[in-house]
Amino acid sequence: MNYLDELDSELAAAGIPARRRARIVAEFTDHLGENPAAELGAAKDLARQFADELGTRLARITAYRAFAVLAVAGITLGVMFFGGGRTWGAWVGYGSNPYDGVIPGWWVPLMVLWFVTAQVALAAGSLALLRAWQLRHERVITAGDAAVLNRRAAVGLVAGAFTMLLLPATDLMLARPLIYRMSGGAIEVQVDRWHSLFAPYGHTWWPYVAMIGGPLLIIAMLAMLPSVMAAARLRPSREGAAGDLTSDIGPELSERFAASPERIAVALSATIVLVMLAVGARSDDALDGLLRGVLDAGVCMAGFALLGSYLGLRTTGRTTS
Amino acid sequence: MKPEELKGHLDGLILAVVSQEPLHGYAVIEALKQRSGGALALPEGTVYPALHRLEAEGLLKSEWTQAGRKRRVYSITKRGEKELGVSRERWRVFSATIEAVLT
Repeated sequence: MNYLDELDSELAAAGIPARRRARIVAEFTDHLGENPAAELGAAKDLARQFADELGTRLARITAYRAFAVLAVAGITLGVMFFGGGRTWGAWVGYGSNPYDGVIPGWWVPLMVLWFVTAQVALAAGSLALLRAWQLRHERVITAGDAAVLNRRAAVGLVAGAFTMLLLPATDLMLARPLIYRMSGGAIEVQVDRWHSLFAPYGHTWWPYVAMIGGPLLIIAMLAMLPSVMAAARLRPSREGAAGDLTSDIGPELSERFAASPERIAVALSATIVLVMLAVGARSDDALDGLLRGVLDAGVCMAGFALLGSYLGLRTTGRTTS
Repeated sequence: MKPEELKGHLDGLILAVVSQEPLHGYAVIEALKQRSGGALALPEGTVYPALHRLEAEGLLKSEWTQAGRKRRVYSITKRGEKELGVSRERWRVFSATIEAVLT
């Protein structure tokens, strides 16, 4: 095997895509044409250097892009939640609930799934951005950090696509405030107002944004997955642990607040409860806010427990690979 | 000069030589050697990963040319010129500081 073949093989092993590989080999062919005695270095070392330089950048860029798409999705949902909630009453009118005010049983698991995927997408996307930002000055990041960035981006995008796919469930979430009452030993969830996305509505722009924006965002998120996979293949060779939540907030803040991953997760969950309680109280339904907050915080802690190791939120004592 | 001594400066050096005229990889390495009086004799292959990264960051752009042999020619972008200015200023401050301490 000559040097160029060996280089091509090592580049492939390092995860360099075929097109880039062909270009590199062509450049080295030209170089050796200029100076056949050129000392280009060991093929394996060069391949690692390419993977380090390009993998670091790709992992960061992928994280930024994933967050950007998820942020647009979040804003779309935010408009639905807050903008829609305020404006719909005027043109939909109350009492148009096709289920006579009671949520049908089959909606509940769908609603729970929507709720969970939305939280996961928001958390994974934000954490991808946070870690990428913390690593913005690093010329070469560790394989562990790259893996965490790629996983966060992938999980955020998949969860985000599911969230938008389950968009009709948000219809139900918009039916605010919910009424919780005990009925025959079970909690019965009812709505006293119903703002249906699919109910007859008047001339307004916003349902069209939701209906057109939803599928477009799903396409955008799924279209990003191949680049996430490419980033996952092109991994820097530098050894190193994946870090945890303290790596996301940075060493200064971690030191100042004596932070640990567990403390950060608990503090975040408590903040969520307080914020949701305040939002509920502002809408004259503190109980609704509190229940949503507790549910949200529960998802946050469950996510920390279940996905903490995979997404680099807590250290498990082993290097992420 | 040892390659590790160049860490942190290689990007600026590459941008500086490419800012003079568009160059292919081999010519970049030769220009570095010539302009440093032979002091910057890097392991030749190591410049290519940096060229690719600088292009990915939008500081360089490149295209194939076919004058004789097929080769990739790099030129500096507007962003690259700005970054070169930053690198020069950073180096000026750094070298002045070190010189003030050493002399």
